[in-house]
Amino acid sequence: MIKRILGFLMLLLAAATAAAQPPTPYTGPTPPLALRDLNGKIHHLRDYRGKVVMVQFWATYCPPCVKEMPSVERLKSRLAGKPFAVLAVNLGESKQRVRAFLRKIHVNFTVLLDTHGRALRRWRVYAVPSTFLIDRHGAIRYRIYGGQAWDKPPQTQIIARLLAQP
Amino acid sequence: MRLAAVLFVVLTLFGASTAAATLTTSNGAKLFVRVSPAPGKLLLIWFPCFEGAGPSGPAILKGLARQGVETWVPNIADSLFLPATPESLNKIPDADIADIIAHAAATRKQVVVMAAGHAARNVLRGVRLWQRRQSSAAPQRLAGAILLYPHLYAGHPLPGSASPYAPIAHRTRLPIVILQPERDPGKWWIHRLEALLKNGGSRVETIALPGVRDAFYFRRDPTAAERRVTQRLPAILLNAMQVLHTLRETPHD
Repeated sequence: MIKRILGFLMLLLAAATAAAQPPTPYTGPTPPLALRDLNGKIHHLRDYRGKVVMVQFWATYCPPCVKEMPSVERLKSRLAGKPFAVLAVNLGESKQRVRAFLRKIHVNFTVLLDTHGRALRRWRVYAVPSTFLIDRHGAIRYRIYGGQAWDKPPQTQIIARLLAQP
Repeated sequence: MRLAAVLFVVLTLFGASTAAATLTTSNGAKLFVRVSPAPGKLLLIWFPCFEGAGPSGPAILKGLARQGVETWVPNIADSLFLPATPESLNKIPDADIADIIAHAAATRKQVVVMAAGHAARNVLRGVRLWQRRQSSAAPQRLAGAILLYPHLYAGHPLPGSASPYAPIAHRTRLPIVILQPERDPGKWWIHRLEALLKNGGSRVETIALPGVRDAFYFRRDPTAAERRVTQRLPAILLNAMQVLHTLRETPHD
């Protein structure tokens, strides 16, 4: 029994460590992104030039995705008026399922539908949540795997640095 | 096969559906195995991930036994005094897995191995070691592998980078059925994995599991769909074993 409790505690520790992983710098190419939102409007990443963009791949079935969403919303509210945008790319779920989910969890950012997983393949996403931070020139600067507290350092500091760059 | 000794200790009362067994491997380790006996010709070795078979495990084993499939569930992590964490998988010797397969093959039943997630990598390495120990004249007792949402990447894949597969994914030669949950990012990469396994000499078939997430059969918050698929799991596994039989008979492309 003690061994099982110890194992459980180690699992909790491992989960906490994974959640605390800082964003990793990225210097590779930035794939194009063109997806429809829930109203059918197409969003191109290139149209967001001049803004720092968080591209986040998520799914309603992913508990860490759901857990970090309120912190993304708080971050977005805190940066209101700044050139900052969030594109939350849902992985292959139906419009109905995503709509039903968003009726329960309110978000103030753009949700896009990657119905056929094409963006996931181009952006090489293997697990959710996976997040990319894009600078004002449209280049990926950081990539992050796992749930984060987006309204706390070091995430807020990294985004502030990206916003401060011309 | 170099099993030093095999000692089965029946801990349950006569007529009970499962028994605890201990087997001693060639390197002297004692491994605990939960045996669910059945009179049929198929023997499934279910190598659970670090989390075990979960609360649905006994019902799944019972369902398989009802269909004539004997099941062995080794608890290697407990046997080696390893904590129940993902990291423990890296400490399980391939030889222990190969020894368990060897012992199962000695029953003269058709053996199928099964593993989920990260444990798939360990099991395929154990299978390869067992295959290398076999003489070409030995009867082919290993019918194949059932892999549930297999994680066969070399490490933890970072978003934005090409994610190489572990060497064992390239080297495996085995009939394989993949059971792939629909609500799992792995489903978008399954064709790439299939192609890689086939290129290495395996025959592969993927069966989609609609409406479920990975680890659906031991989640604490199962959805109605996940409860339904878990109830149907014995039938799904039996079907997968039949597909393995068909794959075994299919000539290579």
